[in-house]
Amino acid sequence: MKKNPSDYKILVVDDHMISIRLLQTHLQVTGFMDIEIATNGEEASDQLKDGNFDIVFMDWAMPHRDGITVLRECRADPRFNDTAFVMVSAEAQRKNIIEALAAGATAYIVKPLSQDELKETVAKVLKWLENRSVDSGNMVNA
Amino acid sequence: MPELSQTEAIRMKADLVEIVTSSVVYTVSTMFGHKIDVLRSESYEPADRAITARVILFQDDSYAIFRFAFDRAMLMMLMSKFYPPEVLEAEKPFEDSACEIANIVCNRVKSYLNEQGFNLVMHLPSVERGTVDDKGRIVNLNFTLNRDRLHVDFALTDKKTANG
Repeated sequence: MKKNPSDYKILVVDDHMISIRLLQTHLQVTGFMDIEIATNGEEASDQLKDGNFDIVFMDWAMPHRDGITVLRECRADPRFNDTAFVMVSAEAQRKNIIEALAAGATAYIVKPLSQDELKETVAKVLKWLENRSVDSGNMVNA
Repeated sequence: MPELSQTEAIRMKADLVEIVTSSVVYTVSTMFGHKIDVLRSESYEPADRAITARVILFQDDSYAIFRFAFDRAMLMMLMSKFYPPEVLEAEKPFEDSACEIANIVCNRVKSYLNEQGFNLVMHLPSVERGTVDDKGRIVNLNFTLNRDRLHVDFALTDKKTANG
């Protein structure tokens, strides 16, 4: 079992570099150091194939392939059963949050991202990863 | 869009002003940790070399244009927390930040209006280049830096189309 934030491998996917920098900065403050980035859904799919990531932070609306499509593809692939997917999106409507959770998102954060909300979500996601072998259907409502 | 009575339209306009201004204040303070003052004006005069991001919300044949004009010095101050100085010599990070702020604010506005019965769809934000002759409902947000304080100047206008 992984014990420290620095043990986790993270992928941040967003088409806006400022949001990637913001998330990276907040994650590094929390102790996560192994962070890779992708700037659209297509890049993300390629990196996910052989990346062995623990947590993926994914924007929804992106060019080339959107985040919800990548999430659905990953959830249909058993290799990603133990990967946590956090949707980080400006889409604030309840129907979007429900759609993302139904598609297999572990948590959902509405932009703009705050340090406090990220910390809270990360704590829940780490718990989900710990419990993964016990309860594979568990979801976190951020 | 739903047919609105005159009273409903006035209330909706007041609500729109409130949701746009509160979204701007919340977005900038949460992303960058800076307080922002909101001013109301009927004029729209962006700073020289302003970076303008535009977002269109539409439903059927109706649409509203949101124009976010950012003073370069203001964006520079906000972004310097996340980028080293050499990165800020390029244009792309400025345009990227302008579009992302516009994206977040307009999604909050869209969510609010859709909860009121609309069924609005939003285009991905883009950077405005050259002179644009807009018609229709326009929300202008002019972001400036004034003696180390951030301001957003807000103007809501209706430019009638040729068909009235």
